[in-house]
Amino acid sequence: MSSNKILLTSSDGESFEIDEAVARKFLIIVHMMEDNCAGEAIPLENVTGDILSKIIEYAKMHVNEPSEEDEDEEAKKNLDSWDAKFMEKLDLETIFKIILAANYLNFEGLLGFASQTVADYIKDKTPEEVREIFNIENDFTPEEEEEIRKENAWTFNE
Amino acid sequence: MRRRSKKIKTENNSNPETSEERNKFDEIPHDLVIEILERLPLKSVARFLTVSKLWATTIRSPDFRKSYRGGSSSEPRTLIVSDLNFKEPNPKLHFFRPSISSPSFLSSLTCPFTYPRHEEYYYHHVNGLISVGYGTDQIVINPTTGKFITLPRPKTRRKLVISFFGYDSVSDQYKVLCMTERLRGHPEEASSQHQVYTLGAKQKSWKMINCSIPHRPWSWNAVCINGVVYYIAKTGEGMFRRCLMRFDLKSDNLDLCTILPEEIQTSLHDYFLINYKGKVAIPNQPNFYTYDVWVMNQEGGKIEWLKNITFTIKPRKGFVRYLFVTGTTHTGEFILAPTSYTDEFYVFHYNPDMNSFRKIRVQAPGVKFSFAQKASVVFSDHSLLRLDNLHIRGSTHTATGEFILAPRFYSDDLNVIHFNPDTNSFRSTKVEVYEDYE
Repeated sequence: MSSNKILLTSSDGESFEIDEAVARKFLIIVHMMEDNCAGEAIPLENVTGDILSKIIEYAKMHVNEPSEEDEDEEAKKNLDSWDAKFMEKLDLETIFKIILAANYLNFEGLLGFASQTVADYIKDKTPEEVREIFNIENDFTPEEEEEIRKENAWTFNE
Repeated sequence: MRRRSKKIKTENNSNPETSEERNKFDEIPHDLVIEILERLPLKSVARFLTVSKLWATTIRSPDFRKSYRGGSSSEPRTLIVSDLNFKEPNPKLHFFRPSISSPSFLSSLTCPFTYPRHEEYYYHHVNGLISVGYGTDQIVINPTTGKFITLPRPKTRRKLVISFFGYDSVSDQYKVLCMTERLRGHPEEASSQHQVYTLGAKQKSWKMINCSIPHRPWSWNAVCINGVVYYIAKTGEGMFRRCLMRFDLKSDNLDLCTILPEEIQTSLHDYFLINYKGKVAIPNQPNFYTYDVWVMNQEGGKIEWLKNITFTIKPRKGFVRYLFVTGTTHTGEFILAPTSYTDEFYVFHYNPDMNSFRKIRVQAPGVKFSFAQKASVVFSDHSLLRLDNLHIRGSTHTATGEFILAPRFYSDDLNVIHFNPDTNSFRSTKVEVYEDYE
């Protein structure tokens, strides 16, 4: 197995040394590695150290992504369970930062998982609560809002 | 670190202490918000239409509809409609989607009209809506919300009304095409009283149209491709020749498209039209395990039929159910469904490039279906998201939000399955429970 180490530097100067296989989960790095000389640290301007460390932690667990037809149910369940615990510990603000960072790093797997986590978090919330979370201003008049609510009344059933 | 409390509803921008933390949240660009929206269940997406105008526009956009995953990824967009025992005076329809991970209940509704004894009924799905015709009763349903509109009665005194449904994306119009036959008429008598109803148009009535080709509709389904509805009919001397009719929504023109290929003129099975990569296709089964898919090529005014795909299913142990091709997915796989279900709801996907089969099940954990059950229709690759208003009235009927799955035919047990969409759980109960819900 390749034991090439890649050095990443976060925006606030923290350094992380990781296996090449892990680094390859971040497609932005794959492109940078092709341009970069071996051995130099890769600067990640848009990710702070605390977020990068979390992302690396996740990437390390998912380095050997099982294929869809993989029969190993046990391994899948363990990984899912680890993923769930990973997200549980994080507050919403951190998860948002992870989404931004995963998007920047082009780390599809984590972006999808984090987005799903936020989706699960907001799915039962009211529109007002959602506006608060995303800091969105309500630009509907009360009449307009009422009309849309009426059309979709079934979603407001208790 | 600001704590979120579910009990306290705070006002926007009211807490200066946390305004700095709040800034992090605005940084989420809208395309990442879309990543989140795409993974929400339908109910939530519908509810969040009122969050802001930007969200409403996003959710209603065709791009969003295409990429919407319904809360889980790589899901086949097949729709199953289950309808109850036809002895019920008002048939109930339940829409759900077989999913790899969890059952996806969409909605249910009670048809406003009595299930007729002698007429046939016609279901069509086009671009997110489903039309149902029972004699002169015609409704158009939105399976996402379970709401429907009732069309005015077609202009006829006859009871045997055949209907088709189409959508034209250029004019963004849905139209229902109807024609009638005499209930006890001669088998060689052509259909007549052809008429069209345009949804949402100012003129809320049926427009009579001419059809120069005498014909009798002969397929129980139709396909709508690029604003043209195609269906199979018998034409000619003695109503013998099977051909393809076309109804163009842009011109309201109904005429003959082409004759069916010789090889399938005398097919024993019912004809079923599908959309294969944007073309009209007819699957045929020369024998139990072999499927031929005939595709109609229309190029430069010339029409020809090509037997594009042939595949064979290996007979499986213990699986002797007749499967028919019910459509294709947006990825080019064929969807096969049985004509009746016993233990579970499922469809098969056949991938012609890899010559592979897989079974997609509707999850019903812990439930034993102890009777022969029939899902009325299986729709394939159905565009699910249509949240616009179409002057809708009517609503779903279940009191507790559960829906009831019951068989078409009962054997020994009079069992009924209750599905709770909120907990995604099934439970089986005796039929007396019906009374609670009426």
